Amino acid sequence: MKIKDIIFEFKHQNYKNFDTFYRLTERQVYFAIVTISKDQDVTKDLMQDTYMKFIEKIDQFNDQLSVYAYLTTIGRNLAINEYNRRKRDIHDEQIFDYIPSPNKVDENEGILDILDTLDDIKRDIVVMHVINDLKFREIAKVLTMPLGTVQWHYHEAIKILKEKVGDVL
Amino acid sequence: MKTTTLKKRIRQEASQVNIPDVSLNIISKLEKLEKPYIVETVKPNNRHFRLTMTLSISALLILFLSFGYIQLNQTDPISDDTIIEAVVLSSMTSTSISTSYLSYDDETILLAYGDHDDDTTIFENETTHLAKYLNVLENLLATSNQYRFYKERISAIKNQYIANFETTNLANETSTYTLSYKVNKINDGIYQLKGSITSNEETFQIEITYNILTKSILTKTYQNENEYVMVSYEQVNQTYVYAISHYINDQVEESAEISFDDLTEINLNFMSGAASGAYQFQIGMNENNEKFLSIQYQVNRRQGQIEITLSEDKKMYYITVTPQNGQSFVITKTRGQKQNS
Repeated sequence: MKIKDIIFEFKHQNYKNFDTFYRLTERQVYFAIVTISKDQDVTKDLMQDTYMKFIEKIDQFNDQLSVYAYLTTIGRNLAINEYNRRKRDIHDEQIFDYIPSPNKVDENEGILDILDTLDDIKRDIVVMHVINDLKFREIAKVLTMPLGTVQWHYHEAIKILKEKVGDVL
Repeated sequence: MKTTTLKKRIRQEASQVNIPDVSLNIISKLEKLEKPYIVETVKPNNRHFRLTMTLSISALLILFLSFGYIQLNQTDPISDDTIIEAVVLSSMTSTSISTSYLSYDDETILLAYGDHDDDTTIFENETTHLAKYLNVLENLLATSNQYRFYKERISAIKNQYIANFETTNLANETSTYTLSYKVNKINDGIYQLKGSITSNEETFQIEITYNILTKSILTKTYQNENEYVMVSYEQVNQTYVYAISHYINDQVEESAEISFDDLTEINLNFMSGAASGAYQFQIGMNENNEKFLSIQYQVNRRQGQIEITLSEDKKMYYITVTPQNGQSFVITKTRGQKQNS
């Protein structure tokens, strides 16, 4: 069943194929959130919130848009909101646990860990483009950023990653 | 390291990440969502329509028969494929017919009896508004591949329903229809359904009268009271007959009859003033797996075949006319389809 057909059903309050929809999109939603939240439990909660928000606002979803980009936007916004809320609630020392050190690279880390050494924007762009398969123009919309800026950040990120990955792999 | 290798490694590592499964939690929440509608759904159907239904230019007739059935028996006919097909096709046809009638100022259509010297002249003169019926028929016939249908009952309003459906045409373009209606009991055995149907940004008012005893249906589709389309339906032995009339100021401007009794062809007869014609429509598939309309015509002493295909950009009809014992020739016509995307 095509994802477009499932969304058509959602628009008519029919959720019987939600599980299929979830399997088709879970990876994109997960990575959109976890790269910001850095916490599995928070990510699990926000994944639920993302899908529920998507369903609740389904009438606003334009079928011409990429559902992956749309879900990514929702998940990312929820994750940022949650991050900011926690930042207010948690003492400064504790929040450092959530924020990776920009230069932290060690030989036991995988590439995903190395991604965390990028600054937020570059990391998000790489995740959205390479892992979540979003097009640059879709990423530009998600980040409300000019296309050229997105591409520039991406290429800079790739350069940095090549250097860092080369150091440890 | 090459960029492609780097990307491949990132993807590879990402694919090994165990994604937490929260789907059951979400499904549980979805089940608790307040539903504004009682929803009855039929998922996309890939099987072929029976042409019996495909041919039904009944314009909402059977559609409302089904709705009357809902009201009368309090059962769900939407699980019945026959009704679904009727709903989709007859509504689509009704809307197309009404759109065509109400949008074109000129009189008919197709071949007509007349004082023409040769077939070329006939077609040059008489196919001007061929698209009026082509739109209807290509929608009807091409939808045989796939359609989607959803019906909802607005629980807050007694006897109020909404039906949504999508169909495809000869170019596999999608059209979406939304039908909203309310069921009223007139007297024993007679029900009236009133509402509106919207497609391609066109909305028509509809009134349907359904007589249970005679199983007859009469529909009226209109945008203003001065111009409307009436469709009546009856079954005579094994033949389904739909009579369509286009009224302006309560005078019949044009009438047509669609009939069929098997699954292979549509018969269309029309009258408009002194002109009339008889045709048999079928759908075919060429060697490039593209659909085309095939029409057998018989007008006065002339007969022959017409094949209608779409241009590459889907904006034109190529109409190839092959008179019996005559030379083929091609006419192009602008295609008036408007689709939802």
